[in-house]
Amino acid sequence: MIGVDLAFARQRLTIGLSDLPSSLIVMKKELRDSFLSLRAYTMAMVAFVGISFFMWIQTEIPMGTNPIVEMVVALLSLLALFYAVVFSMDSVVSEKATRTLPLIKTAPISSASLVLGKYAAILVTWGAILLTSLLYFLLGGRGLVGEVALDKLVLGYVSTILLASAMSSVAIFISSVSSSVKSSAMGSLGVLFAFMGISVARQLFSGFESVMQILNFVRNFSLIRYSSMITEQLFQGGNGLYLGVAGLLAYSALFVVGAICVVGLKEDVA
Amino acid sequence: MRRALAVLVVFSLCGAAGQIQVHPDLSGAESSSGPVSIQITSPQPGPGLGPKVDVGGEFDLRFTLQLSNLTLTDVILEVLIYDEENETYVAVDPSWISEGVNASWQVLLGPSSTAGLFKIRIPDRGYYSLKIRGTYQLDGRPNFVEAGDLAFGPRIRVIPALSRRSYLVIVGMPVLPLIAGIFVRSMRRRETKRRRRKPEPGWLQRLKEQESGGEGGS
Repeated sequence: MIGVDLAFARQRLTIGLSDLPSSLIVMKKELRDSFLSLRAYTMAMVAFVGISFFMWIQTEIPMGTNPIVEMVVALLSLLALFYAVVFSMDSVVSEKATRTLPLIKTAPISSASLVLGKYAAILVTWGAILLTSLLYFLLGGRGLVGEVALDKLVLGYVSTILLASAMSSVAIFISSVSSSVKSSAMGSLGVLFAFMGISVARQLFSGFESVMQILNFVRNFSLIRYSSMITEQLFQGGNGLYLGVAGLLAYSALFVVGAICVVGLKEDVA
Repeated sequence: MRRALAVLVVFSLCGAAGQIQVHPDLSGAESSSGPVSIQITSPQPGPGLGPKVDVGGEFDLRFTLQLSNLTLTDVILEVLIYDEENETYVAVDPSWISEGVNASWQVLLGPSSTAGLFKIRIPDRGYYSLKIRGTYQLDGRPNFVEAGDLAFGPRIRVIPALSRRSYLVIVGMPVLPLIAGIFVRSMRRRETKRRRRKPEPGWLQRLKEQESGGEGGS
């Protein structure tokens, strides 16, 4: 049974890879929709309001420049999670809700290219927001940002892209298995709050050994853990960079392939 | 308001997580007492995170030295700074002090009260806890050299002053996507209107004329 599923997944993935130009078409369409509406701009504005607030208050705190980068990366990591959920939760299910999925199926576009195109558009939009946010460091001046450690800034930004990628893949998967936008939103937000809840619970129950054992085990499935591994190595000298990157990439790959299989399966059933 | 927010956010986000260590002594200044005492009069500790100084900007570390009924010789006052790595006070880089007024005496007669100052210029951003230490001999007791930490200064925040451009970036960046979004939307609307206003193609006009002509004929 497992062998059959793996073969099916491999088949869908192969089709998807050979159908990359179609993915680009879907991505362009998604990007156009995103940038012609106020959605992407609103998200960028929320991110920049947060960064501006942090930048403004840090002018009272003379703690060197790395804390500024660390603060911005921490904030963007949090926003990346919400951004990924907001932009991905209705990606596939909205096609069903608006009944455009049958229309798309008439075009020579595979399920893989549909999912990959939407997924890529979400990451490109996030990348555009991050690129624009670099203006803070380019134009802010010495008084605002001081001497910024560029390597840490770039790696911090890459970690937020990986985090957005992983969370987005989870939300797209949930969207592909959901029957309505509402259920998809509830599922995606539920997963996000579960990830956050694990971190909060670890703080609350740090004195309870038996509870911590369970939480530490469950934490292995949390995206936030892998993201923390990367940022810990960047800013506090940890050693979990590669494991963190591998964890986030594995999450992304697993759930994107899962979403492709689900959409393809529904196509076949239809 | 901004100070309170800064303290709240930094302690909650960073301090609690053990990422950024902040000296627990926020205001910090205290003076010594006894036959030889000194009080730092400026900068004043004040509430919040401590007095703020521009990076590379000169400020005065003002003090008052009070001496009871004693006579001191070879009095030298020096400024020390807290070294967080070694967890001790060390002498500041001499290049930071541009001038010292009433910072040393061959003979100092008591009882007296003398005001003095050090003009200091700190080149790097950061928190700096300063204090003044004095070494002196009691007159008539040449073999007795006293060295004591006479006064702890406030913890000073050395922060670069924000330029107009920095303020513009803080305010302008959140507005930028909004302006871009509104611009794109208005462009799109204009394009849609233009398309609607565009005259119908010739073949459609001819077709309509034929249809209207046909209707008129019947």
